Amino acid sequence: MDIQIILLILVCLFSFSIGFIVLGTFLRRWIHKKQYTQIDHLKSLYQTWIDEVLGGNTQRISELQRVVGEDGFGREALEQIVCEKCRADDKAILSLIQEVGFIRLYEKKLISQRLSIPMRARAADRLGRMQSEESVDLLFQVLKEESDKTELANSIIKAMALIGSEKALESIITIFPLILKKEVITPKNGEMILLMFAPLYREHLVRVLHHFQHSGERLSVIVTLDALSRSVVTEDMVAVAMEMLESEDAEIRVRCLRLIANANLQRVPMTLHEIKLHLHDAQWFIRMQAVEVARRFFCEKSLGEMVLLLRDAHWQVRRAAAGAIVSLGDESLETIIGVIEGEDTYAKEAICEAIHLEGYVQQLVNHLTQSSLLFNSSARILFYMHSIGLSSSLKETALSHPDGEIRQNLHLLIHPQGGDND
Amino acid sequence: MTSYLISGIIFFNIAVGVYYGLLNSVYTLLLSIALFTVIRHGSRAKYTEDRLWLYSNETPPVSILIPACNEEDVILRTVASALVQEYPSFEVIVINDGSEDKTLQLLIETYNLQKVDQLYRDILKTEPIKGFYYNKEHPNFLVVDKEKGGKADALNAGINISHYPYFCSVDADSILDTSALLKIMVQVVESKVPVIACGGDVRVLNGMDHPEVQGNAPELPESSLAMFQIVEYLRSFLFGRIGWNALGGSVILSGAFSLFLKDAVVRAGGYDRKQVSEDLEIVLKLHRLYAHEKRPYKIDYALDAICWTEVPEKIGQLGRQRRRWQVGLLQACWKHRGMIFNPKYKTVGLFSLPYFLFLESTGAVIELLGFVVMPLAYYFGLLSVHYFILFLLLALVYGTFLSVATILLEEMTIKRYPSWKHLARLLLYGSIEHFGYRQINAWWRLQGIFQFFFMPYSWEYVHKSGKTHSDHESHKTLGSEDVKQ
Repeated sequence: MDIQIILLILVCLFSFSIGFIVLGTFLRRWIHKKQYTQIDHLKSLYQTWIDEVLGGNTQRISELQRVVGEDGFGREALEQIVCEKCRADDKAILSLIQEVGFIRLYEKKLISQRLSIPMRARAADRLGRMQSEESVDLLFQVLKEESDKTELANSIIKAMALIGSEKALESIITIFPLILKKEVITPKNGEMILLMFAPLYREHLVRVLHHFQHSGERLSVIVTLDALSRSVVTEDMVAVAMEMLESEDAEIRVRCLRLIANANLQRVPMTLHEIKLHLHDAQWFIRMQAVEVARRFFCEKSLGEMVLLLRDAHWQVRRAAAGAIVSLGDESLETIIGVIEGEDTYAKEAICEAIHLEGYVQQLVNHLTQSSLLFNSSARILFYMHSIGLSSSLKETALSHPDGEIRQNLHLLIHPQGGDND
Repeated sequence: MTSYLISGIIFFNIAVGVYYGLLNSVYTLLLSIALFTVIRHGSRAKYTEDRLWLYSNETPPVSILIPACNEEDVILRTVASALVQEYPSFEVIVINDGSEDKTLQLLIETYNLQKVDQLYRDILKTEPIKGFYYNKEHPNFLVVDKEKGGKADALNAGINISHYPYFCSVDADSILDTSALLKIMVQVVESKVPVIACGGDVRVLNGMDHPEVQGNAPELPESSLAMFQIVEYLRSFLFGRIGWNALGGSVILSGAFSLFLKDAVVRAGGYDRKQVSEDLEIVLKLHRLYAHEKRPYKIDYALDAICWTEVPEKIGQLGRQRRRWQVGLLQACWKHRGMIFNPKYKTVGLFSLPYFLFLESTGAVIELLGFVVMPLAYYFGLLSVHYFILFLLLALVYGTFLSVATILLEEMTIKRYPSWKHLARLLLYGSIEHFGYRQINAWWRLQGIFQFFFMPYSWEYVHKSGKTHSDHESHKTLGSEDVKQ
């Protein structure tokens, strides 16, 4: 064919396409506008009907059932209203959803093999949003049989998490190791889902962790530990974590330590010797997490270890150790002096930064009175901090402190040559 | 001599034919993929619940880094939009890169910041830090004042200071949608393959009055230059980025709004100060690093994570920006030339980089050479007028088709321009951009090529007016009020 004719055909084709797209874009917008207007109108109508039903007038139920039965804007409008109203503790609305046929409809869609994956995933999502506890078995069954369909499986798991019942949790746990291994859900997704159950089912999750540990499900253990350490940590959780601290897997150990460090308890069943082992672990992230545990539960007793960790090769460990030392306040004053008069620059910087971050600097400033027994130590530390540039708060305090003696002493500290304030 | 010239003209004509054939094939492929992806995204949005991540402790914390140099007109609104992000845990760090105006002062006054001390670990080497400013009433906000070193240097300083495993670079003249950070992070946490970087969708801010605030109707700018750029941005993000991302060949993440895994960027050596387009270069570096380490990774694009940025409305500023982009592209390609046609880098090495280097960046040369060669070809009787007119017509019609199709994609995704007037104006500018605007762009790109080969170049901040729709005072008010809430 002549090249000119080909070009002409192409020009015509694209010109036609432009016209088609322009027309299509306007038409699409016009249709959508009409649809949304209609949905808004229906929403206000159905809102009244639902209020009537919830008020005791059951006559409207059959009309609502008809709306759900018909595939159209009416169903969409009604669905939007019930999803907005749906709450786990609102039995009346949950029973209305059941009665008007939404659950039946979406269960049917969920198991229908003729529908596309997105449509089935949407059905699962709606069952979750409508808190349909009676659909858990069906959701689980579909999940088990079609766990290779990532999109659908993810939607089902999230729906179960939205339902949030014990049965839903049990079902998820049964299949959890498999779907994690097959990468149907990402670990982060898994953690988020378990965490959604954590407020109500902590004890259950602890049992689950135990179970995963004994069945050697490493990834599930890691994910569960991560989720638990971000929830309210209880004694039971700490006990399991303690047991698992002997694991050879550093990833598990670090999560156990994080969980223990996050426990809001007075004490944990751990000895100083045990924590020391972790403070000397070969992995820096274990050492750092062990510092957090030591700071929380063995701070005074482990002071010597913390000083040693100020010389750690990793700044994250040094920073954590410095924070732990400084958190003891005046009790660690002599230790701090020992560090800043030593020769390790990294250790000195870490401790000075911690003094700053922990807010201990203000306490040191308050010791700058002749009557204070800690005057000399405090002055030495503050002078060193000033010499490495951590002094702007000292300058401010030197100007604004209510105690004249402290102001004077700070001024002498900052300007030993007798210079003026900057 | 004449015979050489005639041979040259014939060769040029063949080259042009091949070039347009290849370029338009790539465009068609990208557009088809984008259309498919957008439809898929729309259907997925009906059953995915991103907001579950909003209430979860599992959502990774993020440091938002805002490098700023002489941005007194825009910095407050940018900070305000960053601080009101709907996200579980984040910090905002403004890096004042040696501003000579009131940028730092405005921040200090608006947020009552106090000078604080903090030790600075320059894991990535930067210009010296002059001070840190903080107010404990805004515990997730920190301003760092440093010596001028350019945007790359400022970002490196921000990385050194940031506390969180992910950081998000945001331009000082850009406004984030309130859910932008969450949407971009969902893309990261829900991916099976580790996502080391993810770009957001950048839209034009000009003419708008706080588009990030829900309920505020977006407006279109009066300026024609800004309108052309809106169509350009839509085309670049809605089919260019989506298409390349689906093919696994993302090489450009906008500096205006992108998320990175900090560890990956630090291991790659951080941003290169010598690069004009540091955002492009860092992505290439990440590709290199992970391909070298043979680790699985993904560089992604979140089409619904929206950031609004101001575009130049003055021709001189726009020209400067386009020359800079062209120099940046060539500079980055030259630095990473070992990646081009290298199968080790898969789609990036075999397709994306060759496309950007040989098709995108040479487009300007071919287009403008055409203005010289075509009259010559006519003079020597080598040009069929019918053929030429048809070819030109096809190029124009196809270009218009792409622009119009992109506007349809916008309608199908975010639909941020709700009124009929908006739609009509967008379609109009999509149709007329091929008459003048495209040619002037080609001229700037040609200048950029010349600059790359023959002139010294360095990074420069482009001054933004901040006059979008509302005035400076209203940004200031929004900034402080929103944060207080």
